Amino acid sequence: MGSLSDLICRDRKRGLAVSLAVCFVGALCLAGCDESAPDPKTQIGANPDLPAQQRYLVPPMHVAAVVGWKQGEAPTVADGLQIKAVAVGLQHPRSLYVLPNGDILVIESKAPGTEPIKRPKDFIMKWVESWATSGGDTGESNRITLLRDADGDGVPEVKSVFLDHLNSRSAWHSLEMNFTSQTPMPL
Amino acid sequence: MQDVIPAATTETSTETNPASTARVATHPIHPMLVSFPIACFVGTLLTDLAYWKTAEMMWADFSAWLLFFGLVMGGLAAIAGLVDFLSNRSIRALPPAWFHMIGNVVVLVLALFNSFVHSRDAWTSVVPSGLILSALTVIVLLFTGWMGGSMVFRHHVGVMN
Repeated sequence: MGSLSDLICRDRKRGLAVSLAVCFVGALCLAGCDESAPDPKTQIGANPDLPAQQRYLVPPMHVAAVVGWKQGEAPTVADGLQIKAVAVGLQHPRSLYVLPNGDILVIESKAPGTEPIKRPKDFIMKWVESWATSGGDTGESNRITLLRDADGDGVPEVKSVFLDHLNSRSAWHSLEMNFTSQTPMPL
Repeated sequence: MQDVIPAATTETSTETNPASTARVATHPIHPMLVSFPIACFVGTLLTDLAYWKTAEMMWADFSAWLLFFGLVMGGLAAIAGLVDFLSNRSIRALPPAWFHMIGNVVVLVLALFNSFVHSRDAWTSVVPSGLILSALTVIVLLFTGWMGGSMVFRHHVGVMN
């Protein structure tokens, strides 16, 4: 818990939204495993056999515990191969983009923290959601970090912030669109 | 006519009124605080009715906030009231005080359950169970408020001698 030694070599999706989505999908799977599969014919048509509505005073919550990488811990690889951390200390890395010259862009993102509190429940929801993040509020995120390994020894010499002050950036393609839109138009 | 003046009963006692223990400069704290939960819980019923009729989410959010602040202020009022109740034997001797105390514990429990019901999303956060709980809360409040009135206006609890 709380360890920041994120390994780039495995795409570890530790963003809050993704964690929650995983929990949600996991809960769905569990719910699906409880009973034997129903006859598919009862699930289609004008009057599908829908499960009964369930209402809770306190909804069931299954938040997966965050397990961080220990210092120097790495996945096992086959004989003859080796694996190394390209970068550590990233804040919620969500996706990677390798540029043609070998530079790696790491998109780090988390909730921007600007959501309004609309109901008293939202305080409790935020608290429960904080269980799903790795180490809580650990520092600046919502940025793109540039890693450059020019000499190819597997250890990047350059680690710098490429873009920051981004809000919950989760994918590269939307940034590409930004670049496109910022290209000066010929007059 | 009467040889012996009967011992002062609680109903007609004019000797010493049952005193409030939780007080500021002789003013009891409990009556200062109870207005908040009463207004909040009555307001919850009104905003629940408005949501029921309009399905406008704003009213359901109002209800959730009113319940929340009603519970917070009601909890403080309960502490002041319980201090008065537990620390004065002559208050505990009054039947209306027991009805008032137990009834208001019921009010807070109902409101707490109602808060959980209101934490659901959309329609089922109010209709029907939230609305029913809000109405029950107000009905019990009418009774406990009446009992509180009996304590003060008939038995002079917390009234200066």
